[in-house]
Amino acid sequence: MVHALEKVKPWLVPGGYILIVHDLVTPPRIEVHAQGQHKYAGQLFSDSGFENQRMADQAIDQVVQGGLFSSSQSHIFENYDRADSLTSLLDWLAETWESAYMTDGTKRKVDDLVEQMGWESEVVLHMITRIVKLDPA
Amino acid sequence: MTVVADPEGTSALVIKDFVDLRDKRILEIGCGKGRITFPLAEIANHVTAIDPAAEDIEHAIESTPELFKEKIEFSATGIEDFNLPDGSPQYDLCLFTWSL
Repeated sequence: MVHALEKVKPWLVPGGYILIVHDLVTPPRIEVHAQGQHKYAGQLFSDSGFENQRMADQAIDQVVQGGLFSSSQSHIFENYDRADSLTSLLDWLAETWESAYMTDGTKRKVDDLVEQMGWESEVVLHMITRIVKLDPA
Repeated sequence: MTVVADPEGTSALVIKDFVDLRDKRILEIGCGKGRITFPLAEIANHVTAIDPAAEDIEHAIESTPELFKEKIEFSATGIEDFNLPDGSPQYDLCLFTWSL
């Protein structure tokens, strides 16, 4: 990860910079949304303990502390992945994020909320993401 | 299966609000199917977008709007294997999208 940042640095023109977008080391929330209502069902966990997110944080700290870059701006924002059902979300996670899992309790809660909130409900992954600007030092 | 990642386009909007992309030459690392690439190309001068997932790059190329075909260059490669012919500076912005 640090290597990737070191590699691209010489490719930047004067005044150029790096932006990094990565999810925070916090479990995403599983929610059910319908008709303007957002109900919390549980959290998404990862067998890896969110290792990729942790490593991204560490790489940024390392290149800033090592004097390779300075960090001039950072912003945290929320974003959502939306599924038409719990099955869809689980299938999609199996394809795109193998280490992710939710507890049986969370799955039951999602099913209950979908039943309560109606057929137009969406099963939603609510993530917290950071964007960081790194300027060559 | 229907799952849409960030259908509101929040991530692309945040990037566009965060920095000025006008006339910029961008290297996007981890472009996937081009979810962020296309909104960037609306403003930037040129986007080189790379990802090691060949299927995603194929999908991205197929779904590139005609308007952006001259502005975006996709490549099915990871940052480890991506190199510039002469290594000289040429990007205003290197963007790692969930790929660091």
